Amino acid sequence: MKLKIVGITKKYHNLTALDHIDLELHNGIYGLIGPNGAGKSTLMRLLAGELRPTSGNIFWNGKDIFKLDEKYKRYIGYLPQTFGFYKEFTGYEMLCYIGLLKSKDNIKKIRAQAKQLLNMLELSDKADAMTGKYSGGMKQRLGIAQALIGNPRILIMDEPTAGLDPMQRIYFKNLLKKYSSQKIIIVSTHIMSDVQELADHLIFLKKGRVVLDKSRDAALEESADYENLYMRYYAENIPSGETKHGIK
Amino acid sequence: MQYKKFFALTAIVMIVLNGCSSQKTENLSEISFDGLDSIEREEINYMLPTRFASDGKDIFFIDSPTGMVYRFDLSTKEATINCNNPVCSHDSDSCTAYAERDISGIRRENDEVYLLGNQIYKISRNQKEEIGKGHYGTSNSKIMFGGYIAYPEEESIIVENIESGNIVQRFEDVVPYTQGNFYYKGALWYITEDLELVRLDIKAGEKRVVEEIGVTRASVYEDFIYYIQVDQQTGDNQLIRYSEGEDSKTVVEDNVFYYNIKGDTLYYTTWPDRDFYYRPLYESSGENEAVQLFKGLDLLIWSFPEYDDLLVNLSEDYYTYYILDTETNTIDYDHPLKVEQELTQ
Repeated sequence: MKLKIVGITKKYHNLTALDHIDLELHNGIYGLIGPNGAGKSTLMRLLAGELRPTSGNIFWNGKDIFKLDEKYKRYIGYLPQTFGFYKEFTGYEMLCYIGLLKSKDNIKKIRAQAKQLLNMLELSDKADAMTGKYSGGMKQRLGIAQALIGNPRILIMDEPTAGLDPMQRIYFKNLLKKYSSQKIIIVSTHIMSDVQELADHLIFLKKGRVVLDKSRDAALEESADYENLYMRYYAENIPSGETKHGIK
Repeated sequence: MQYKKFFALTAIVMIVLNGCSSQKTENLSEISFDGLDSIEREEINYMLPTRFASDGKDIFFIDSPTGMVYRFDLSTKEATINCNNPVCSHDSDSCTAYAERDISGIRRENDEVYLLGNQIYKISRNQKEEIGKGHYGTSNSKIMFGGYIAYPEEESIIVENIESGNIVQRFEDVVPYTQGNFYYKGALWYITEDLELVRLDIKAGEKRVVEEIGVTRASVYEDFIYYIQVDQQTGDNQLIRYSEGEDSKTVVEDNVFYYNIKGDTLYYTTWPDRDFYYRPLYESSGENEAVQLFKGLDLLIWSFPEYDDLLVNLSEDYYTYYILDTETNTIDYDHPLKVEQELTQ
């Protein structure tokens, strides 16, 4: 499985959010790093098929994703930064509905997967509660579950650990690692420790351009540790007066 | 000898079982549901499980995060907790705003508003009165109609006379989903957990499967049943209009994730874009293009018989509701109806 990004540029009026991006993604976990405004969310939305590029192409196994359109969207599990649930749905119903839209499995199989995901994400006891009653952390876990339902081949997750407590973060990282041999997983984060524990591959974005695209091991050959690696590319983004330890 | 023992044991078991049961079965031939069909259609145009209902004076609703009952005053655009006891902590059943969290819904019935949980309460301004015998279970999929309540119990639906507590009908092998259940013309309509749309004829005790697969939401408006059906082959999620009399189905709109209907106008959101549109209900979409009101917004929409306008809420914002003016189809963002968070726990 291969997701190939060729010469992608995305402009919003006069602002160039992404500037001639070329990437090739295979199964594994990709950590997408960059400060605010680097273009991470724009790239994620393009990969999720939510936005169209100003120029360039994205190919899924050699086929243009915008020509595949709905078919491609079925391959995607997407967790955006803000995800609203219809609060009158229960968590279980919401998952079943999204599963039905994304998958060709029969409803019994979708139900079984929804229950399994709710269990994995420690939401079983709230499965029949309306999502309007969910706390922020519960909504985030349900967001992760909706991204995973239907067994998508590409997982795109924008700041997935936001709102999770330390134990849930560990659990979530283990969950992603379990899937990483079968899926392309792209995790956008500004928390370097998340990337440190998760990513096989690092992509650094800066002002809409890719400044680093290397395997974790190759990237770490450049610098002593993750902090130094981050400082090497983003030192000027650290507010003056903060030490490098201030980097999350 | 063994037969005698068996019959004696069976008789004892029967006596014990009957003695334990306080619920009797009413003779269906003596029950008339005819009067129920005169209920104004708009009163039963509710989407489920509902959190909002108006009694003509106030709009009562269950606040999502706390599960407590509030009421909206549309003239002052204020939300007030439905309890006027200044020292009440709103955490016990004696409080007029207290609702059983997770299992309660609000229903309108004959100009009164009811809180349905394991018990039924009639509610009004700072008032709450228990009616019925209770023990209606924890499911949100309850239907109240003309003095009766239908509620799920294990894998069946029980129809019970609220006043007497007598069971009038039981439908086996129906496990409901909560997104579309209502009473319409002598029948209960449910979406099951297999996402079938079924019609349960109360008098005949018969179950008929109207749609076999992929139904995710249903409601009644005027003399039609509306439901969303997902076609997994094409990925479509269509809004279907079903005429029971003619047993005919018409596709109203091709991509509908969530909808409500008011004054012959269909308001709906799409998937996966979550854009919000409106269009005339009875004209085909080909002739009348839908108008996009908002882009990328998850809106929940409620309608009330006494109000021409709609109440809407953005799904990621728990506390703020807006009026959608149905004449101009604009949202009054300048005058939000806010639930004061300090009131919530």
